Amino acid sequence: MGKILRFLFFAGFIRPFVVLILGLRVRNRERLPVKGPAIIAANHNSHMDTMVLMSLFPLKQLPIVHPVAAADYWLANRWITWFANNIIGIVPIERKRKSRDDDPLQPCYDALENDQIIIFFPEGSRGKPEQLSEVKSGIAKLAGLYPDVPVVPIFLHGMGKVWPRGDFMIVPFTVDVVIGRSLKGSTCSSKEFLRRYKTRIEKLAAQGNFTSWV
Amino acid sequence: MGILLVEVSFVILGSLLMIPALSPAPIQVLTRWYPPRQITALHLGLRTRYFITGLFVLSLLFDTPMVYGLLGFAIFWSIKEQFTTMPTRQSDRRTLFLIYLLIPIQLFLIANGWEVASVFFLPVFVLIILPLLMWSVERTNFYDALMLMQWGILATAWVMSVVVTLWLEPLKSNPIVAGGGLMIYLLALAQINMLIRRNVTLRKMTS
Repeated sequence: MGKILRFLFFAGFIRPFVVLILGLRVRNRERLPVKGPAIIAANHNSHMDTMVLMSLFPLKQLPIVHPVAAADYWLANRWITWFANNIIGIVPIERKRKSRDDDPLQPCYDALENDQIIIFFPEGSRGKPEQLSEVKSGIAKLAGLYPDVPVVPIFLHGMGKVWPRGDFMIVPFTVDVVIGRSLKGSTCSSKEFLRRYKTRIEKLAAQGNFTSWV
Repeated sequence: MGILLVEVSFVILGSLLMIPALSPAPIQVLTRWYPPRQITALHLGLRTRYFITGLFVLSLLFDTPMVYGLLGFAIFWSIKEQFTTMPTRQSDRRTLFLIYLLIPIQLFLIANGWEVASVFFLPVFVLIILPLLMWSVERTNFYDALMLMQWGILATAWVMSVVVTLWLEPLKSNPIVAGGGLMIYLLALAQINMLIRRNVTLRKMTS
């Protein structure tokens, strides 16, 4: 039941909305992973980010694509929890550690071991519209533990214009998606990995000559 | 008789154009000519183009409702492209949203046959109400933002809505070619223009 509802929600609502109302301009679509396990790592400005990234994949891949999301936000009450688990299909992670042995990224490990494609936002939470925020270390940890899993960096532009944080109104703009070559964590330390990820995202951002939004 | 023939040929052409949009056949043709890296993007692009063309050809037939839908969407799309390309102020988000809401009003004016109102509605809004709105929201960078917005709306929404009017009201003097015929003429002109410009600029860049 949940699966059918999820399919209907994405095929009938999210995808038409993203493609027809917003409009996508995707560069290097062939670099998207075709099968799991894989990690999609994108910059984060808006809730729309997740929707756009999930619309990039063909519909038959939908069952294996799951966004990583903050448990304290998405599992706040019963209705949102149901929606997040069954319709969006999130991988919930705790932003605050409960005890010392607790690993907040445990749900991500489970998903990757089940050959899923997870959508990860290394910046943590939604930053200011159309600005890159500081990258947190979670992505490097994941890449270090799963050295063979490709990390695909994706730069998104325009989402902060469409639906910035703290606003209720969605205004249509064409959205740019620049997909980069995948990184692997096996070859370097986590600090080095973060640096590589950051430079790659900045290079992708430079490809489009995007102007900042004031 | 002549009109019927034109209509039948449009139906056949439109349906034929829809086939490659929905079938996997193009991908097999493309794999022969292009490296596999480019196939996905090419295939998707090709499919979209066939779909648009097919939709357009079919809508040339079923006059009113489909034309309103299609052209309302085309107007919306053109404004959105304009707003994406030009620099906008963050504080103008609500104004931009309001401008999208003008499209149905404009289409309503055209559908009701209020030609004069439909011609004057957008310019009056853009020249009198829009400056007040934008001035009341934010005053820094006001003139730049206002002029870009005025020019953008008139060059996209207003021009396109004139095309809608011409499409839906065939000239009495030439009932066969006017309307849909005018649309085809405009489209052919725009496409040939684009093709020539692209080829000429490419050649200039490479030589």
